[in-house]
Order: sequence, then C-alpha cells, then structure tokens
Amino acid sequence: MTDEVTLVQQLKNTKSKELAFRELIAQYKERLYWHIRKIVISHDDADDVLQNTFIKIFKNIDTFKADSKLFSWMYRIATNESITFINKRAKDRNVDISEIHSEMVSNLQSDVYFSGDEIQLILQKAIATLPSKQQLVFNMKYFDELKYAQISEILETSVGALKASYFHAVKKIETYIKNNHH
Amino acid sequence: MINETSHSEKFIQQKAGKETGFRVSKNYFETLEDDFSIRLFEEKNRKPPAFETPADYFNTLEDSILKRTTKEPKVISLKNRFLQIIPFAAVASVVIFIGINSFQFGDIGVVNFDSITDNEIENWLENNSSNSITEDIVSIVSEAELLENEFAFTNISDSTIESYLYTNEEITIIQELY
Repeated sequence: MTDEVTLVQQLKNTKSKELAFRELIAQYKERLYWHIRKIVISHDDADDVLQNTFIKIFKNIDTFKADSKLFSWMYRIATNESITFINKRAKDRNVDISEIHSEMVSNLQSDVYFSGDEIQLILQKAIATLPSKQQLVFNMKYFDELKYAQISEILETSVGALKASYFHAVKKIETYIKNNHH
Repeated sequence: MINETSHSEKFIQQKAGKETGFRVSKNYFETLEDDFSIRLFEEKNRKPPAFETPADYFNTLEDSILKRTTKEPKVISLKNRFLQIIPFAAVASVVIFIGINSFQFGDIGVVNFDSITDNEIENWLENNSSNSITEDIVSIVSEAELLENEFAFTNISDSTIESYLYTNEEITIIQELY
C-alpha cells in the first residue's frame, strides 16, 4: 500500500495520476462508501454519490493542501456530496429535508440491501429524526468510531460543539428506542 | 454530560449493537475501480450538447411568454366579414342556378304507367311469382272498385278465374283493369 504522501505526489503528477487514482480508490472506497451510505441510506444513491465524490477528488486533487490529511479531505468531500444530494432531492420534490430523511428510512424495510432486524430499523428511524449535523456526528462517532479531533477536521467544527451534538443525539436516540421498542 | 453520553451510548449499543444492517451487492467493491475508470473516461470525453439556443433566449423567455398571455382580444369587423363572404355567395348562387336548369330535378323522379313500356312490364311479370301478381293487382285496384265488382269475386268460381289467368296474358289483365 502506497503511503499518503507518495500517493498525493503521484496524484498531482499528470503521468502517474490515473494509476495513482486507481490506488486511491482501492484504499478508500469502502470507508467512503459506508460513510455515504449512512447518510443517503439506499445503495443506489450511495453508489451515485460515491462516484461523484471520486470525480470531485480527481478534478480537485491539485488544490489539495497537505495541511490536512488526505483522508479527512476526502471525507469532507464525501459528506458535502451526500448533503448536496439530499438537499437536491428535497428541492426537486419541494419537501423539507427531514421529510426526505424519514422517507428514505421508511423504504428500508423493502430494500434488498438492508438485512437489519427490528431494532436496527428502529435505530435508523431514530437517527432520521435528528437534525442533519447530529446525524453526521452520531454516525461518525458511533459507527465509524472516529475521534472528535478527526470529526472536527472533517466537519470543520470545534470539538466542544461536536461533543454537544453527540450528547443530544444519543439522548434523543435512547428516548426514541425506549418509546418504540418493547 | 460525559457520563450521560456514555450511559446512553451503552444503552444503544446493548439494544442495537454496532451494525447498521446495510449491505452491498456481491462483488460491488471488486468492480468499483473499473466502474470509476469508465465514469472518468465519460467525464473526460463528454462533449457539450449539440443543441444550442439563440443568444439571450432564456433571459427573454419570460417576457415573450408574458407578452403573449397579456395580448388584447382581437376584434373582428362585421363589415370585413361580410365583404369576405360576398364573393363566395355569388359563386354559389351561379352554381345552383346552372344546376337547376341543367338537371331539371322535378321531372326525373316521377314514374307512371304511361312512361313504362309494355316490354318492361312483361319482363317484370316474368321475373315475379304469380302470388305477387295477385297482390299487385289488388294493390292497384281501389277499395271502391273492389266493392263495385264484388260480384266478380263472389260469383265466379276459383277454377274459372284460374283458367282465365292461365289463358290470358298478364298484360291483358292489367290493361283490362285499367
């Protein structure tokens, strides 16, 4: 596996760019996919957003500065692409973003790419009730087990604000599960 | 806050675990690089759409549509309408006049015995059954005539009438009735 610094150098070199990009995809595809998937819920949408994310990374790699980690930079692009995707869908349907979230989760039961049991479905429904920022923080902290410092770099938010967001998120989810799972 | 967060986090983990339940299609990640290479190729070689619009088309579209919707209703002059119809009415009158004089519609349709030749009547009688002949005879004789000649149908036997009909030509019978 090529280290991050070398990979970035190869990516910025026209001759080695495409090959290095293949390497980049191979290294990060799964982590980025699962991050996107938790935001957009459906596999097809996650696939679209993942491709858009890599296209954006490919086009903007020359603007990447080494002051942040490549992984965090890509994670940020993936997050922005996912949020843009949901916002666009809400705009197209002329509905609120929260409505789009609950609609996406309500489709899970019939989704062939969801094999979760009842409590996992309830957990997803609980996450869908949270504000977008809390959803992101919860997913990154709870499922991806990222550190607050990493999340802070990705979302460009202070660690204190993230901790508060996560606190509210887990309290709401706990209450939701207690009310909906017997 | 830290303790409360930790407590709630543990509760969620005990109930739901750390799995999302999401899964992907078989071999999805194996083909991802190839899929992306294709997508990248498409992005690189994407040509601008061949269709173009005139300059400022979309900038002026609202104005041109609104102009059409707010147009004043068209007033049609009655005088002009009459002036347009007059030539057609004149031509139609001439055609009707020539038609009436050329075809003499009234005279053609009337058919009576005077206009039918003896041959036509004979042909008709030959091609129709004897029963219908009797009916036809009855149909052309008025009720008054039937009453006047009532004796003819009561005192003469059927066999006599039949032999008369056989020995005389149909045309003679009809002419006698008239």
